[in-house]
Amino acid sequence: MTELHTMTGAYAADALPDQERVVFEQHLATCQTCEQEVRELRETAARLADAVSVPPPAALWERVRQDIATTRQLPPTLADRRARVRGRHAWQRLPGRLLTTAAAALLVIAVSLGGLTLSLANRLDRSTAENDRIKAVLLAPDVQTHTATAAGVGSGTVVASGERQSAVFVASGLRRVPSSRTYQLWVIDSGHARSAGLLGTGGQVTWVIDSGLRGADAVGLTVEPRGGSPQPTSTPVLLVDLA
Amino acid sequence: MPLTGPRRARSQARQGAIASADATASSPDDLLVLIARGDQRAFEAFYGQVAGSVLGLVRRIVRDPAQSEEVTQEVLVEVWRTASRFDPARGSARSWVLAMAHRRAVDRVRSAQSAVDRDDRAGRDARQPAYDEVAELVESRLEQEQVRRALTTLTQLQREAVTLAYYGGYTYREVAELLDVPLGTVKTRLRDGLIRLRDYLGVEV
Repeated sequence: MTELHTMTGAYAADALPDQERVVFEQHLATCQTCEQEVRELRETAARLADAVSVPPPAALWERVRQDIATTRQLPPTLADRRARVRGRHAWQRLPGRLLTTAAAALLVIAVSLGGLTLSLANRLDRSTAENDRIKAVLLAPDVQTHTATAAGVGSGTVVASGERQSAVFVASGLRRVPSSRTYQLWVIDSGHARSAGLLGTGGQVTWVIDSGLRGADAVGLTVEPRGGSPQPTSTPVLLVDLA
Repeated sequence: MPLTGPRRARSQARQGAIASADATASSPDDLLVLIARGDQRAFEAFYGQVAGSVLGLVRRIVRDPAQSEEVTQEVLVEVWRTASRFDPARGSARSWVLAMAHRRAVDRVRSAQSAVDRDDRAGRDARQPAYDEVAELVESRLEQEQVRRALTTLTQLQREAVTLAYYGGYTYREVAELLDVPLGTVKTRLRDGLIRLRDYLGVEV
């Protein structure tokens, strides 16, 4: 995948489509050369922004000031605090780096899928066990990313560990279904579907799939009656091909 | 774990003193550390240092002045909210904020776009301001002579690619389509164009 190295410019200029950005960010977490170049090119891009600076109207500050008065700040994550304690480059050492990379990878995927940052950041704070499962997938040496979009439904990304022991399914902006219905996730293998969980009525979803993925062909999403179904009752509204 | 009452009050008082003494002179990076601890004066100083660039960049991409202000407001409130998550090892505070601003601006354009796309391909045409218009806007308003000069050192294709992607908010695939060149070429030109700018401007991290 040497071609990835040439994507630093497009990434720094924020010109990669969502799926490619997710893939590149996976690479970035493991490639020091690219990471350094991206840092420099993003600084350069910031200079381009400075060059088109305009004086903000006074009313804008007023609105921002009022907003922050009622906006709760996120506490530092454990990884952040460890990194700060150890100093500026401490994150490059293990295990701080592992944690930071996982958190960054998560946030990055979240951002790239649009607006998920908050829910994922909350999860990070809330559920250590689930974090560990998500991290385990994202930190696998050869993760692969598969994305599918269905018109009128939304898009979903499966980040699968190389050995396909487990995967994380991330979706944002899933069209809402009535509360009498639910999205249900399926692992599909040679035409057989096995339930991987109920995902609720839509919106933003992060879900760990931790079994049955070895050799699976696809991950699919159907709309089922609330409570779920033992087998899909309709064709998937979204199908992420794992091939 | 949050600080307990008296400790927190003392520490905020101390930071307040630091901020009032140094806020306007401090770098955005230093200010973010104070902002993460809830220092509003540090945030005001930070706002003063970055809001103009954020608004300028967002306006290039979003165009509509009212919407641009909305996005700018969102970005700065997000800075306040997530200041504790800023990692200086990954770049400067300034580049962090501006990357966030770029992303939000592009998201705003794309979500408006997808609403249009559902109807027809009409959306595509509506979003075809073409290189000349973007370039003209940028050229006529570039405030920093140095950056303007730096841009003139690029080859035409490098300049077009960088300008459309960064100031126009287009993906490299769209840039390739607009300029009618292969995808790989756009990727390469974006990279070597930015590298040239980096070297000309003496950007160091």
